[in-house]
Amino acid sequence: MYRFHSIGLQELEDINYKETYPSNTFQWIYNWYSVFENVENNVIGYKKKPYIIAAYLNEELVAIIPLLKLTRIYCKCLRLEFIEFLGQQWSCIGEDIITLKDLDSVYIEELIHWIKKHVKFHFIFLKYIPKSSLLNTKYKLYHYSGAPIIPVSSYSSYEDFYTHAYAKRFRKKLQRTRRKIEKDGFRLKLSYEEINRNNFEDIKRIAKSKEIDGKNYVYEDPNKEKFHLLLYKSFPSHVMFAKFNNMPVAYVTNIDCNGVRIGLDCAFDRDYRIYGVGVQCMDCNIQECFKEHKKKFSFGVGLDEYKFQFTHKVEDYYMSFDFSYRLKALLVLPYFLYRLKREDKHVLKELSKLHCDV
Amino acid sequence: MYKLRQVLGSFIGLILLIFFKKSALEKFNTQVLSIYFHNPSVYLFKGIVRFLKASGFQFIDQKEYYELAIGNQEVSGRKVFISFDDAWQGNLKLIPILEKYQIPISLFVPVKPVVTGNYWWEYAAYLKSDTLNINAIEDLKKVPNKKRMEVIHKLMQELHLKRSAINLKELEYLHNHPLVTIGSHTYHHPITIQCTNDELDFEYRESKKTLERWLNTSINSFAFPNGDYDARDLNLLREHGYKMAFTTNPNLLNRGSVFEMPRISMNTKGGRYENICRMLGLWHKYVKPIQIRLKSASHKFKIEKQFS
Repeated sequence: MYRFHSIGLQELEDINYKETYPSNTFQWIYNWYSVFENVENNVIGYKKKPYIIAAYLNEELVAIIPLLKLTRIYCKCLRLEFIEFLGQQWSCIGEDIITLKDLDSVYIEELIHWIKKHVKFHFIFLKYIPKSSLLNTKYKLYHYSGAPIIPVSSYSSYEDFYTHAYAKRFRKKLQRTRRKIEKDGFRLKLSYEEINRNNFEDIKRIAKSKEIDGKNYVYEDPNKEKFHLLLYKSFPSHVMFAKFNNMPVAYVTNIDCNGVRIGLDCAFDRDYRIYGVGVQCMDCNIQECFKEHKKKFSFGVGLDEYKFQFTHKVEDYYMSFDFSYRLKALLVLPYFLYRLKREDKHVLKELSKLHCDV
Repeated sequence: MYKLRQVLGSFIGLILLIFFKKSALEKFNTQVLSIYFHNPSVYLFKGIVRFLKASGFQFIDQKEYYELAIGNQEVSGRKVFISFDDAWQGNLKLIPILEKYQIPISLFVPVKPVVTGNYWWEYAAYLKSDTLNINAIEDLKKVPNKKRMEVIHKLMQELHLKRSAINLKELEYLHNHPLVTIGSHTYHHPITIQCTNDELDFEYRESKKTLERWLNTSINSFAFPNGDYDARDLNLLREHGYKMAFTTNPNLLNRGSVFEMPRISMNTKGGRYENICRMLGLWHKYVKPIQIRLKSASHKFKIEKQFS
């Protein structure tokens, strides 16, 4: 019989636990909540309230579940209450129940029972969870997203990776663009730097050029910028710059967590598109992972096409779902079920289109 | 049509030169002549240089022109300052002439074409849009900078044009040439009066910074793209540490105005005599007023025809 009770963020800081995903670390959770606590919109949610649940078995802490209760508004009038993982709303790279000891299948039953009894909600949406999650024992998991990865430690060297993972056409592209850079008189220099105020200005300038392609960039929103800056501070972080004659034209920002390097953000100056500076920079970032003997390099969540030039291996993420027997929840249930199934189908289609090894 | 116009221009130019050359040249005994080209043919450039040489002009560089403008030096004898805008690849063909006649020049370089290889108006020539009501380069010059950039970026993704701007290797070669001085011509070559304050600040700041990083030198001079500028531009020039700026006003040098130094535009498509007349101010005095009248008359005629 498990015993649950809700704890505060301060209490979470005092617990010494080993997380599976960086999004589960106290630093990540704390930074996320401190930045987005007062951000009120339909993506991040309204009226947010953290519910960090600690689970005990025989008075011993066995699991932590960092949850967030929030409200979203549909059709301007329909207010629905959700229970989600804290931080899954934006910039999440994997979530799961933090387990400190081995748990049995009854655990999830009891957890959900406790939540339903103590927290008022319409829906539970737990996203970005791995297939191995305990939630799989109670719920059907729907495909939600994926994070392309390079299992660095499974290759003997970068050269081994280069010959086996890159397609011939892509290798040719890298060589061709390198020749073009030289032919036009640019000197490509790569520098691996700690993120500081000076180079952050260059990062922002390059990121802004995404607008040319009609894309949004992280630093457009001061809250998102603040959150990224906090992450760079809290984790060992670096930026890989591709510089043309000392002028930064592309970058990849990374954080390191448990021997895994995660690419948080990357962009290239759209004016230099013909030189393929973006792929050159990412390729050098991967080389750096081999030099530093990292276990794995993750491109971060998202099945963007450019990532699949470098790898076809993907860590897939799922979503679990539950609801309470309340009128509003029952009314919109078919719509949410439809969306879940559509998302599931879409992600599966994307993965098969990109020939991924899941 | 273009050939006919060139021949007619040359003929009118020749007539004007026969009658007014001597008197037109007199004013340059006490005033500096400043001219600029875009992408002239070797034949046209050689013709202009030979005329200047034969008329006793001495070629001066940007530094000397600046000294004359601020009054540190007095004009003695006929002097001419030559500059080039946009950094076309065709300009490289003129190097032997510059070396032969020892002509110092200033080259005003927009950054983006050096990277991408082409100028925005080259893409705009392919523009056909019914929804935007923008169908020509001149129309694009009248829309806000952001909108113009959007249109051009779309075209850039569709079209692959042959490089017409110099690349960085060639720019470095020109910079290391003792007769060439490099100046800024903005980052994207926008129409500055259509830019927002932030966009304009970027153009002045980043173009100087990038050229300085590329060439490891300090960039002191600037030429206004399309010749457009207002008080905002002059303030930004001072703010970003430029020492001088060149306009496209076909006037004579006014002492003290280092951010509005005049230059006379040479018509790359025109003939030799037409351009000599432009240089001496004869074209603006005798032909331009007639051209303007003819243009307005034909415009009136078109409107009347439309309404009738």
